[in-house]
Parts: sequence; structure tokens; C-alpha cells
Amino acid sequence: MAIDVRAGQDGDVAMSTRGPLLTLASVVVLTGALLSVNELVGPSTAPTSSSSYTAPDDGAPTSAVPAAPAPSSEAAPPPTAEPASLQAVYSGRTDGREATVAVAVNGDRAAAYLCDGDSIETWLQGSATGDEVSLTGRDTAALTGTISGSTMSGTVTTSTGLSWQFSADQAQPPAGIYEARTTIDGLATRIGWVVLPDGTQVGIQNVDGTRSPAPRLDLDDATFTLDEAAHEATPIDGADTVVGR
Amino acid sequence: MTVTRESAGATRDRYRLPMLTFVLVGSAVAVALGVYGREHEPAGYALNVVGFSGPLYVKTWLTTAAAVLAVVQLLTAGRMYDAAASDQVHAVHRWSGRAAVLLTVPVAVHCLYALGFQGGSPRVLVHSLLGCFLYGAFVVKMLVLTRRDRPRWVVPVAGGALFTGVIGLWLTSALWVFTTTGFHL
Repeated sequence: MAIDVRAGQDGDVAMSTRGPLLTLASVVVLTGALLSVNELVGPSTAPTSSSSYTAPDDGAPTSAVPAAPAPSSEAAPPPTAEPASLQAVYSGRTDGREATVAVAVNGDRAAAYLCDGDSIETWLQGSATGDEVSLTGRDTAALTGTISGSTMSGTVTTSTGLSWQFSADQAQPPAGIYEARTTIDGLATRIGWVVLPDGTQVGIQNVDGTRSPAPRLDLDDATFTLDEAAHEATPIDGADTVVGR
Repeated sequence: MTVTRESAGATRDRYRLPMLTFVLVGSAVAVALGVYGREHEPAGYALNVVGFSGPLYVKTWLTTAAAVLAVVQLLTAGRMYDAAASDQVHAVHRWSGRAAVLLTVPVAVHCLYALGFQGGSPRVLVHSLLGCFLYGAFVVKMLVLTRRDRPRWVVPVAGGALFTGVIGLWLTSALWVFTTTGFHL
């Protein structure tokens, strides 16, 4: 069977071969421009750093230097490189039980989350020096605390200016802060949980700015269900970045 | 205009290497998009345009416009393939195609940048895969048009793949939004 090979085989004798390449180029240029705008303008919610926090209940201590800041329990805390640095999680409530607060300390870095399970939540991060911690967050959000024994107490202020005294006890996993990022109906969603020493969990999901109670977190494997699909939540370590630029 | 008659086999053999090159380039683009979508840390940002009820609906209507233009593409392509279509039909095909693909770019950039390659549900997985596939198919379609010496099936297949991609993407996103969250601006 013979095939006619002639200029403009599809009947279009005027078609140049430049047109398709120009179209391709314009798509690439537009894509590059939009991506650059994204990078310049910045995301509206903070990207979370991939947490390197290893939950102690997933394996034996890896370092030869055993750390012993915590009382004995089913899971040993992760060994620290220098015996003097603190790696611990404190969780508790504000004095009037308005909200739950958890602070994760890793060496000289700290991250915290305040959450009332309804509409008030605040992410904070900062530093830990000796037995003092000082964290800040968006707008007026701030937390200062003093560690005495196995309890941290101090003052926490939300980004809207609400200020409370709080008291948090040092606790073993699964107590602490958890975070998850996913999408609901195509909108970027961030979910945070505080898990108290007694296993009570309080969380808020933030769907593009709209807050509501978070889904239940399975404390055995840090997963939760949303839209009938399983997702993973990440335990937050003191060195994690939780507050955006 | 000279006419050279050669066998189908010769055309096919001569085109083998260019075709392979075009498909490899398109595949590389598709894979690169998938890898970027998977590795890039999703960072939410809003695609807000006045008049729409929210960023989600901006994307939904842009996708719908691209899907409508894809149907125009299909109809004009049919004319161009069978009969000696007028220059207007060719112009409509080219320009509706350019408009369609450019309309998808802000949607795709948002999907990739803010949401990433997701596999949480079948709909989302298919959408993520088709999104990567679409731009690979688009690259192939543009590249095959740069050479005149192609077998007659190449353009319809490339165009058909592109059309399937756009419609599949519309079904797994815009249609889902309209049926679950309402048909409105």
C-alpha cells in the first residue's frame, strides 16, 4: 500500500514546523513564570520539615551512650549524643483547662502546639536553655516556661492575644505533638494534635483557614482516617520547623 | 508541489528513530512531573480570582474550559483528517489547542505545587497519573508536528491521547467537584 508523502500531508500546506515548537515554548515559559511567582510569594502555610524524630518505641537505642533522663517505661527514650542535652516532651493543659499544650524539647531547640480541639490553635517554636524555654509563633503567639523536675510551667499566648498559665508534665510517647498535612476537597490542610500523658488527644484540622476538630488519631501507629483513606501523622520533635516564614 | 510515492514500510522505517525520540522526550517530561510532584513538599497557596467562590472553583472552571476546547479540538481534527478542511478549521484547531493547554497550566502548577502527587484514593491517583501523562502527550504531539514525513496514524494517535488525558483529568476533578460540592461559579 502506497502512502503519499508530500508537504503538508494533513492537507495544511501553510503549516510551519515552528508553530508547534513555539506553542511548546510558551507553555514552558508560562509554567516557569507561575512556579517562580510561587517561590517568590511564598506558601500561605509553612512547609513542614521532614521529621527525623524517631519514636523510641520503634527500636532499641542506637547509641552506645545510654541516656537516662526519663523514668523506666515500656519504651526507652532515644539516646542523646551528649548526656547533658535534653530531649523530652511535656504535655498538659492551661490552668483553667481552656486548652491543651505540648512542648517538645530537643537539645537547645523547642517546638510547641496549643490546641483546644475546637477553634483555637497555635504553633510555636524557639529555644531551650538550661531549664528555660522561650518560643514564639505567628503574631502575638509566645510561650515561656521553666522546667522543674519533670514538670514545665509557664505562660502561653495565642496569636490572637489570649494568654494563659499552663503546666505540662514530661511524658513518654505516644504523648506529645503530632502533625499531618494533606488535602481535603483540593484544599491544603494541616492537622495538629496534642496527646496528654494519660492518652487523651485533642486536635484541630485547619482546612485552608477553616478550623474544626481533628479526626481521631490512632496512637499505636500515628495514623488517622480522612475521606475513608488512611493517612500518617508525624510526631513533632523540638528541632522541627512548625512556624512559617 | 512534488509528490513522492513510497511504500508504507519505508515511511515507517525512516520515522522509527524520530518517533522513538519524541516518545522518549514526552515520557521523560511525564516522569519528571511525577517525581517533582512526589518529592516536592506541598505548600498551600491560593489561586484566588474575583468572581469565583474560591480557589477550588477557579481550578474547576479553568479545567472545564480546557475540556470544552478539547472537544472543539476533536471536532476540528476530525474535519482535518477526513476531508480537505478550510484554513479556518486549521486555525481554529491550532488556536483552540493553544488556549486549552495554556488554561491548564495554572491549574497544573497549583496541583503540583500545593498538593503534589497523591495516591490517597483511586480518583486522586488516576488524576495524578493523568496529569503527568497529559503533558508528556502534549510534548509528543508538538514534536511529531515538527516533521512532515510521518505515517498518517501518528497525529490522530497523539491527538487522541491528549484528548483522553484532558477529558480524564476533567472527570477526576471538575466533575467530582461539581457533583459533590455543587455546580456554580
